[in-house]
Amino acid sequence: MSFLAAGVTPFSASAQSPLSFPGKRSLMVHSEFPEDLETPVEAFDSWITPNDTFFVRQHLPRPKVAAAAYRLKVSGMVSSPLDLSLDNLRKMPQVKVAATLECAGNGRSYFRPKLPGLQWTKGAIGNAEWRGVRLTDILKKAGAATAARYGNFNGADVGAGKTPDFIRSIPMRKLMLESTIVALEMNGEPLPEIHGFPARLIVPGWDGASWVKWVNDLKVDEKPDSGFYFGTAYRYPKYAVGPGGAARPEDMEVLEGMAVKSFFTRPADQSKVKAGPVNVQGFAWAGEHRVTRVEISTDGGGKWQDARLGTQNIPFCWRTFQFSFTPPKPGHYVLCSRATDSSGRVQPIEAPWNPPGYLWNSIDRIGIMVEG
Amino acid sequence: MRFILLWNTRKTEPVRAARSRVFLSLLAARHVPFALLMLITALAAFAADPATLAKGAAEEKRCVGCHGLRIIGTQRLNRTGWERELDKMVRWGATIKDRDALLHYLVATYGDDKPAAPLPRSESAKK
Ligand code: HEC
Repeated sequence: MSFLAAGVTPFSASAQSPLSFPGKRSLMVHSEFPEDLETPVEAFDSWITPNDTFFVRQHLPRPKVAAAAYRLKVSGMVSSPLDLSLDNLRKMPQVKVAATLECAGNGRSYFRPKLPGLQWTKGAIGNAEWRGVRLTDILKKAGAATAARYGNFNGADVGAGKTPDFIRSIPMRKLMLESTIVALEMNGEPLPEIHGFPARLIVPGWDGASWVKWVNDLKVDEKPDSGFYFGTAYRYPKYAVGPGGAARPEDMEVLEGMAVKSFFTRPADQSKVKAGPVNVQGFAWAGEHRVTRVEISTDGGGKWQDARLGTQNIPFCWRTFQFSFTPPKPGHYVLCSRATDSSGRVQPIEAPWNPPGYLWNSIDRIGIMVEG
Repeated sequence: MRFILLWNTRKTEPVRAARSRVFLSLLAARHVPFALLMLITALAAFAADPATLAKGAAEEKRCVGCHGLRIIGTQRLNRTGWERELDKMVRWGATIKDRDALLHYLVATYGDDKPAAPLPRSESAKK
């Protein structure tokens, strides 16, 4: 929205010392206003990422939306436009969808040459159980035209000055999937304000920018939005441009499904471990595909062995992996992890450099020092 | 030259350029007065340096309103990268009084040759 809707007040940039954020444990602060918070690797210790541990990404300052004033407006190519209150949404059939959410720019700080944007390391990712209303049910209720091709979504957040508004277009083929929902709950709690209270989109397997927070406006259209964020920003080159390269605007495509990827959570990078078996753990995920394999190397990528995958194997969710490594002798070891998915994609040695710094998925690498 | 190197702990681009200018002119100069003149010019550039940096730092403090300063200080960009950022911010509504000073400061402080910015850890908070 280009103006403040009723019941929406922008969060103020009031002084915050010491740094702390509502409902959040200790996180890495990239920006306190708007809030961009990263989960430290050592805090990932369960398949579900608790709400207090979940990373936060905001383009525009967080709005405060009053539950009573909230409406989800549905208009455009529909036979009966809707103005759904929170109660209306709660009375529709509710479904639960577990899904992993990752910022497209997770890992951007590892690209060389360096790129502008949040300098995420590994922790702009998390897995949660979301509960809410299927988009198909909303579109059916509104009587969306069969000729419609996109849902253009806007949230209650607004930018200052001439900052472009954040609008995201999602093609009907994705909106029609049972797993694409408007969530009202996250891990069994009402959606926390910082995660989009009262409602946000869940677009499993796709980049975080499509999971619009504080979502309050859906325009059903033949065409996608042409604004900055969807028209220019969240795009990825059709072909690799090489480090520092540029792509013509017409060769930049909208980012959709995420890459195949894995990373270590235990042991900590550059930690000292005692002689004896080392319990190696981590997570692997593949956007809209399934993780089928994770291989581990304990010699810097020379030889590889299969890790044991966690039994929780649910579409759009990461999988845990575990590997027991008994170092043959003391000294320094370089551990690598490499995931493969159901579509045959394999995590590369080096993610292709790209101008916006998206989809960093290089083979993860940590060092450990085994004591004698 | 050692004097100059000791002085110039912040190897900012204009200073680096000035230094190599001095060096080249000292090498090439048949006439000592000419070399001296170049040296004086270079020293004048140094003298301007801290002042420019201070002006740039003051300018950066005005970059708030839409976001805090940390999102600026965590970037590591070369001059071209910073130029593009400033163009984008101005397009989005930022007003800059002394662009040269700001650019000079940003490249000197958050250049792509600098180590990654340490990220503070927040304190746990209740709802
Ligand atoms: C009119 C609002 C506004 C003003 C004033 C402003 N910025 Fe920004 N800036 C933004 C927005 C919006 C973003 C993107 C935030 C996001 O997506 O996380 C941003 C992001 C940034 C980033 C992060 C990299 C990027 O491009 O996302 C840098 C660096 C930055 N601004 C520098 C500056 C500087 C330097 C100034 C002062 C000259 C400034 N900004 C003033 C709106 C503004």
